[in-house]
Amino acid sequence: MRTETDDTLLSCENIVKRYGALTAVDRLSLQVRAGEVLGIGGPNGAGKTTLFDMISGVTKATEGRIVFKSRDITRLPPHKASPQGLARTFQLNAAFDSLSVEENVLCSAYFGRANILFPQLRYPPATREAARAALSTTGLEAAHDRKAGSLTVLQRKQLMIACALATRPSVLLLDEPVGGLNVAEIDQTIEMIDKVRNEWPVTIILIEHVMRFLVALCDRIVIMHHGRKIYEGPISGLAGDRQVVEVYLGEGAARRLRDAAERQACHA
Amino acid sequence: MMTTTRQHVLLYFSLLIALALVPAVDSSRYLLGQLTLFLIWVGVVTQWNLVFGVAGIFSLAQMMVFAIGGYVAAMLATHLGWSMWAGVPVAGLAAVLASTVIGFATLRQRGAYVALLTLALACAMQALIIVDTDCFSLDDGVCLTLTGGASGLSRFGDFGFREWFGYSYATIGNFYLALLLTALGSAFAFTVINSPLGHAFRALRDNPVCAAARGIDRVKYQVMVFSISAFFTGLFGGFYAGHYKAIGPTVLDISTLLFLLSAMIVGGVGRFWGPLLGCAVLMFFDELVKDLVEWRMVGIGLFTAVFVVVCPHGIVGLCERLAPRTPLR
Amino acid sequence: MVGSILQILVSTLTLGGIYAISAIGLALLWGVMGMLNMAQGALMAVGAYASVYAVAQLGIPWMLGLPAAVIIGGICGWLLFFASVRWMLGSAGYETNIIIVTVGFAIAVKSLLIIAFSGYPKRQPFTLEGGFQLAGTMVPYQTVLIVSVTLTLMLALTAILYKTRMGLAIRATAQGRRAAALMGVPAERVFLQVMMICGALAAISGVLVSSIANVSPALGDDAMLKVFIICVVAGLGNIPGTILVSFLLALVEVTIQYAVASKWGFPVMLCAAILILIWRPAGIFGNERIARN
Ligand SMILES: Nc1ncnc2c1ncn2[C@@H]1O[C@H](COP(=O)(O)OP(=O)(O)OP(=O)(O)O)[C@@H](O)[C@H]1O
Ligand SMILES: [Mg+2]
Repeated sequence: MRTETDDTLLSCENIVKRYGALTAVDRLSLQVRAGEVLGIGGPNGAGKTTLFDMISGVTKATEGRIVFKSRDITRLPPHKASPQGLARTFQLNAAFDSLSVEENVLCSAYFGRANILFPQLRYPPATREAARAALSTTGLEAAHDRKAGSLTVLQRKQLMIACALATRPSVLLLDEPVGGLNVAEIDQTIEMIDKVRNEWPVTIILIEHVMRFLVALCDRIVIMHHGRKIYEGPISGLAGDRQVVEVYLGEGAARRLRDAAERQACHA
Repeated sequence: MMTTTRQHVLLYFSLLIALALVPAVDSSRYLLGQLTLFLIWVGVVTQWNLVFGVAGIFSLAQMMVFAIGGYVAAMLATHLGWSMWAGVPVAGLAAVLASTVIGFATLRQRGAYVALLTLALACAMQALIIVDTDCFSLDDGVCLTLTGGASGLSRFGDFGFREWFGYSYATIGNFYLALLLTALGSAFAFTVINSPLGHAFRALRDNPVCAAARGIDRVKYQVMVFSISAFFTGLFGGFYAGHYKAIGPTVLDISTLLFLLSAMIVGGVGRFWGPLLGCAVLMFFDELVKDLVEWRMVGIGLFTAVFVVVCPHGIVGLCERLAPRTPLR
Repeated sequence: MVGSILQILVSTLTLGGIYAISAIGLALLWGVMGMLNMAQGALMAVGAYASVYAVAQLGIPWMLGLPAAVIIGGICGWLLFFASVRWMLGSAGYETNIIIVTVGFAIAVKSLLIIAFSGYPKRQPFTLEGGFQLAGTMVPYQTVLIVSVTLTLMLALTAILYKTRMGLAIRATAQGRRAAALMGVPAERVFLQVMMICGALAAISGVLVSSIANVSPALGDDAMLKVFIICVVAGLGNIPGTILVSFLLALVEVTIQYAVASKWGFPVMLCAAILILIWRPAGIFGNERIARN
């Protein structure tokens, strides 16, 4: 187990999640440093979403401890995570369908930022400003008065990220931000997340199967399998790891990944 | 979007103002009486719509809250001799208090569980009232039970329009009071729906897990919508008692509950025009079948059931499908 | 002391059995098609009147009042299915709308019963007079009759659910509507069967309820409410748990009625239910379903 360093923002210590006989996450430890982009990969059912669920309080860890900004948040109820600075998106494109795009983002910015004792009748200017910034980063300004239920898949994904950003989080958890998108849309999303990384003071953890996406964005990567961490390190080491190639990548993808990593290195 | 919302609100209140002119044209007691009842139901359904349609809470406690308001006003008048003008506001506050307690007791549950628990509470209240036979106070040597038991309370005064303006003005006075309450209640509901609080309610209805991830505490805000909607519901309950100078356990009958639930569904759940349209259609239908005596309930029951099967999104939903350019929730 | 305990026990068995029959029907309906059947009370009344009518007008022996109720109850289930659920299942707002539709039908049916039979209470012919002494307590034969009917029914239902193909299809559908349909279970037929079983169960429980009170159009109203509470406390859709809770809550109710006052039976039962639900929000035997996105 790695020791906690000074700039560790979020750390999971031996967390376990059991659903009856099934262990979805099995003694997983993870340290996330401020400012990095951490990718999480792994086959279907590896426990990636469950890990996010535990960090964001949607389900409670069966065992272990989650520490965020030196505070134990293992038992934090889900609605308290966001005001602490943890914002997540969902694998399915969750939004408030009957609200407009703008209302979605406004109400996320308002309730997700600080604990509200009793809401005011109008959104304060600071909230409007945060919502505007989130809409502009994600490129949704033009669609601001559309009902969320009528958006395209890409727009719904952008809306989810906009809502999360509007809470001005210090850690952003993205669950398959490009799942189900086509190549052009993936490129567009890569650009957008790059913008988020450069313009917002935020640490990003993202779950994704699309290797191109991980290669383009992540500083570091973790591969999970059967609830455990089977790899942690730079993307470049991935193709050389026998177990990762065996259970997840396959030979073909490993080769492509090696090529991609080389190209990336040339550009840099 | 903003402008269309404003137009709808404007149209809504213009309609209420138009209603205010009715007594100038026709001031028959029957018509004004029915219109007053209509306004009461619109008011009650508007608040219920806030809980049921906007916040998506499957509560069947609406008539219980209404009855609490009615009974508080009636009991204050009967046992303590309070004027209705003092009793009705207290009824509103009492309803808020009771509703908050009911909310905390039931809203840890979701969906169908809430429906069953709230319905059971309402029925328990009715059962307890009916078996209430112990003397609470004496009125000229006549034994008065706390709640009036099965026959209800009826020995108390009204709003006093008769004493002030003369016999014929009692109906008109009550009508305008109902109109005022309905206008205030609707304005309150529209304000809430379009405020951050309303967005939180709708977010919880649309996607509770996602709402929690955006910092919205489900139990807190659902109890809140329960409490705030209870204020006007309780006021209307008190007004109902003062208007009819009586209140009894029949307001808790399932048939009354169904009548209002149908009004909400027939109008369109969670829709701006739902309560007004639904109440209008149901009262109109009731007017049509009222001469059928015992067949009346058969008619209302079947009408509701068939309507919901055929047209589950109500009249407003139907209009939206036919003319899809006027969406308003 | 022994006498009163025995008395409470006997009443608990009677009431609990009647609740259980009705509750199983509701639990099945909820489990299989996510439907809260608010017409249960009306179906109970229909069953009770079917027995009265068959015995009085057709002159069949009183014993056959129960089968008559079963047939009429089944037919009502069939009708209800084709008049409502058939068209609504899976549509938006189904869970809410089905409640309204069934309440609507219930009110129509109860009014029809009043029109047809007048609201005046009638005697249920499916009754045994007399009783026997047990440890100084009078045990009516009617109790024995009710307990044997409920026991037989529960055994029969268990056999149907766990030993027949139909039962297998029902249980499969309850586990997952979509999955069962994909595996070739004819969903619509299962729904229809469950509706008819539920109708029959409601009718039987109506006959039994009216045999310890009397026959009136509103006879099922109170019982239905209690049965709903039972289902909720047990965890909606869980059948064995529902049976257990039926007897448990019947015990609470009877004890309170016996020890305090009859009018406190239902309110106390309700408070107990709410406390249990605060302790376990999904009911005693319900699994907490974790909402996922
Ligand atoms: N609420 C739950 N109840 C029971 N089992 C669950 C629940 N949630 C997840 N699981 C199980 O836990 C395991 C891990 O699921 P999880 O969704 O975390 O996987 P994942 O890595 O996100 O997969 P994918 O790539 O398909 O999204 C799976 O076997 C899943 O079936
Ligand atoms: Mg996942």
